[in-house]
Amino acid sequence: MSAARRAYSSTVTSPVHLFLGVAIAVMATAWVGAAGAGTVVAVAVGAVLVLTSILVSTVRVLIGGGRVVLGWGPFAWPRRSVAIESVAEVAAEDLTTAQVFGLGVPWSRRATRMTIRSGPTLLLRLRDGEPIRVSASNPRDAVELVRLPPDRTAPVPTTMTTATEEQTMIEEPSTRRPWFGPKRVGYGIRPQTWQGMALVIGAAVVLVVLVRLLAG
Amino acid sequence: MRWTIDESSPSPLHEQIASCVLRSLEDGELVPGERLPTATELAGVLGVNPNTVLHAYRGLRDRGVLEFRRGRGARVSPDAVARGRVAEAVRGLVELGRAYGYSPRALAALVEEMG
Repeated sequence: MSAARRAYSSTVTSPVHLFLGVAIAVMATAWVGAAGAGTVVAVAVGAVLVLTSILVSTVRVLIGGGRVVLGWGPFAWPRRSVAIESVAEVAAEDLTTAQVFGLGVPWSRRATRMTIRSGPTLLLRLRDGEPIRVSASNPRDAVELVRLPPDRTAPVPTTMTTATEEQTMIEEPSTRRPWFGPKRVGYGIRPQTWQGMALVIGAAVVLVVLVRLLAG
Repeated sequence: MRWTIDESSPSPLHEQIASCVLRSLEDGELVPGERLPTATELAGVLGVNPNTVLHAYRGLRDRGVLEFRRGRGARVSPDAVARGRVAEAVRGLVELGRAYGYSPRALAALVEEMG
């Protein structure tokens, strides 16, 4: 009997995202500075935008040990860990540019999108119905691995004395309520948990502060 | 990229891990500048000790295939493909020479003569 253990890893970086992010940061810094908000605020806005562009220009996937770990940015943070058992369907897709940028809401738990370029994409549809799309190199290899029986991927080692980051950040999405749900009337989404509400309030506060800074 | 190790293989685990990287370079799955999973991450999913992965990564760094940057993990070096191919060819030559009784020094002398 073969004792083969398999894993899959992918790191996809989009130079376009990085370039656009930095260009927007430079313009925003110049605009905020010109609006009289002060050098510190202008530099802070620029720094936040540059960091955000670095974060969203790379996506990483790691599969093995019965889990799929998805991460943003060069350090795979923030990350999300999904048990392979909770994946109902897995497929490789080729997304067009319009599909990459035009579908769904990226951080909604109803449809997670980590697509940063057109082309090969890994689709994971969870048992609770949530689709996760993530840019990946050779996603067919990932599909093959996820479809393997559990004993063909490596078990998480029990001899390690320290827990890996993945183990400490295990989530069971199928048992958690999505932050946003469909509106009762009309199209779109609405917050339905305290996290969703906190996100909306936080965004509103940031908007008000920015407007006041720029107006003052 | 695919990582496959076989505990029943006579080849050491760290060499199998290094072979996965070299094979992916040959196939074009890995490109220069690409970041590899950290040793802890990869060890976790392959079910091996992190030191085994580090051993493989260090071996690849010594062969010029990977670059280490403090706090930024391992990356594929810009000339990894060329160096990887040459390193594999030299490895094959050393094994062939050993089979016929040539020491690495004797092989180096032979290469020197030809150059």
